[in-house]
Amino acid sequence: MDLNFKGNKTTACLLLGAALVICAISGREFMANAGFDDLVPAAGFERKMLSDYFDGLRGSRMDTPVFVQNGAKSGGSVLILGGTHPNEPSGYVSATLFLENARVVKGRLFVIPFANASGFTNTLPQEASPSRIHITRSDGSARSFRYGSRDTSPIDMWPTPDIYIHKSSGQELAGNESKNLNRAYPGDPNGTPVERLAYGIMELLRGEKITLAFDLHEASPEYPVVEAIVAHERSMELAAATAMELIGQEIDMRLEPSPKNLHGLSHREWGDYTDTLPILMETANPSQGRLRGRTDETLALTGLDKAYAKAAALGRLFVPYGPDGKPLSQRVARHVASISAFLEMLSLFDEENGVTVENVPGYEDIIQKGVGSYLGGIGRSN
Amino acid sequence: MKKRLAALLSLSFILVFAHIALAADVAITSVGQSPDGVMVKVLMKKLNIEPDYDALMKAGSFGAQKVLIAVVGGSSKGLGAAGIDKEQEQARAIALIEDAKSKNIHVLVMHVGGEGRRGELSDLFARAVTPLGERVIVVKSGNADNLFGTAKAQNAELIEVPNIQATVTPLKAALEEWGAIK
Repeated sequence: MDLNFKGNKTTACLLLGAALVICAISGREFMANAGFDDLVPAAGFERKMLSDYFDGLRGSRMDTPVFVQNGAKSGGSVLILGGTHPNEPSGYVSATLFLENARVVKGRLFVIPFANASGFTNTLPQEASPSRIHITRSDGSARSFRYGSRDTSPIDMWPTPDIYIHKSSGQELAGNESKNLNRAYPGDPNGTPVERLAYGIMELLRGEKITLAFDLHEASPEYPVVEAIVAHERSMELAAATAMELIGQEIDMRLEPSPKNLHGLSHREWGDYTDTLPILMETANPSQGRLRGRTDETLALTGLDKAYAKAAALGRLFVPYGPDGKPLSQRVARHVASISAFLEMLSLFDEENGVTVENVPGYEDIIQKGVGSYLGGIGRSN
Repeated sequence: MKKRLAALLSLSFILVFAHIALAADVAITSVGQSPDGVMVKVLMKKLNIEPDYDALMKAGSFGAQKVLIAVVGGSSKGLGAAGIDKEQEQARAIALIEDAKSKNIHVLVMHVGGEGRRGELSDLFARAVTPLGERVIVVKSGNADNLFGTAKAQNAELIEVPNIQATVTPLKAALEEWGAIK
C-alpha cells in the first residue's frame, strides 16, 4: 500500500497537541505516586522519620516514616521492615497490619512500612505491573496501596552502571542491583541515595539496640527460597524453634541459612554490623514470576494464574499451588503468623529481651476474614 | 629442653582430655547444608541434651560421641555459604559416616523437612547416606514416594512420624538404646 500523506501545519499542531495530552495524562498518573499512602496507626504509636536516625536523609525522597510504640513493661525491641521491594505487597501490607493493630505490652515495636520510599513512586519498566492495589475492608470501603518497583526510582538514581560493586565487600553484581536496597547494606553515609538509605536503617538498628529485626519480602513461586525464613547464623536457633512452632500450626516455612559470602543483604549485613538478630522472610507471589500471564491488580491480589497452575501440575514450583492461587490475605497471614511465632520464641529464649504484642490477628483469622478486615478506615479511597 | 617437652606433653594431655570431656555423647551434622540439623539440635533441648552441632563435621573429628545424627536436606544457599559443591558435600558426609561406623558410633539418619525439603538436591544426599544409617527417622510428607524406604539398608529400621515435633519420641528411644541418654 502506498501511503502518500503530506503533513502540514495543522497536522503538526494536532500531533503536538496529542503528545501534550499523553504527557499530561501520564505525568498526572506519575505525580499521583508522590508522597506516602495513608496509614491509620494504632493507639500508642509515635511517628518519626528515618532522618531522625541519619540526618543525611532529611529532605530527600529516600526519607521514610518510622513508627514506634513502647510497652508498659521493659523488654527488648523489634523492627518490622516492609517495602524494601515495593513490588512485593505482602511485605508492606503485613507491616501496615502490625502498625494498625498492635498493642505493645512489653518492649518496643518499630515499624517501617515503606522502606524504599523512592521505589514506591514508579513501577519497573516492561513489567506491566499495576500502579495500585485495592484491598476491600469489612465495611465495603477500600484501602489503596501503591505497587511500586523493586529498585529505587531512576529519578533518584540514574544512570545505572554496567556493574555494581558492593563497597564494603568488593562483590560484583549486575548494574541494576545498585538501586536495590537489599544489596546496599551496610550502606554508606556519603554514598548513593540507596546506600544512604541502607545506612539510615543500620543507624536505627544500632541506635535503638534492636533485638530482633524482620525484612519482609515476596518471591516468585518458581524460586527455591520461597515461603521461607532466611536466618543469619546468630538468629538460626531462634529461627529453627520458630519454624517448628509454625509446623505445629500447619504453616510450613522453609528454613535457609544466610550465605556468608553474599553481601549487601539485610539477613547478612544486619547480623554482621549490628547486634540485632536478623530475619528475612519470603512469601510466594505469582505476579512477580516469569511464568505469569496478564499482570494486573487481580493477579497481585489473588495470585491466580493458569500458567502457575500448569507449572504446579508439572512439579516445577517450590510451593504448593492449588485452585485458590496465592491470595494476598494468605501471604500476609503467613508473614504475620511467622512474626508472632518469632516473638513468642524470643520471649522463651531470652525472657529479659522478649517483646509482647497483643491484638494481632492469627493466621486463620486473616485468611477467613480477609486482610482488609484488619486495616483501618481512612475515610476515602485513592 | 626436658621441661619444655614435659610442658608440651601436659598441654597436649589437657587439650585431648578437655576435648573428650567437652564432647557431647551426640554429634549432629547436616547432609546437604540445610539448617534442618539446627532444628534437631533445638528439639534435643527437650531431651536435656546439648549435642555437638557441626554442619561441616569431617571424618577424624570424633571424640567420645556415641551417636552421629546425619540430618539430610539440600540447600543451595547453604552449600554456597559453605563454599562447597554437592559432590564435595556428598563425599564429606559419606567419609564422616564411614568413620563413625568404624569407631562403633551409631548412625541415625533423619529427614525432618517434609515435602518442602525434597527435590533433586535433597534426593541426591538422601540416596547417598540413607543406606549407611542404622536407623532412619523421617517426617512422613517427605517420604510419600518411599525414597527412604527403598534407599535404607535391609536391616535398618525406618520410622515415619507425622511432623518434626513427633520425632522426639523415636529420637529419645534411639538415644536411650544406644546409651546416649542414661
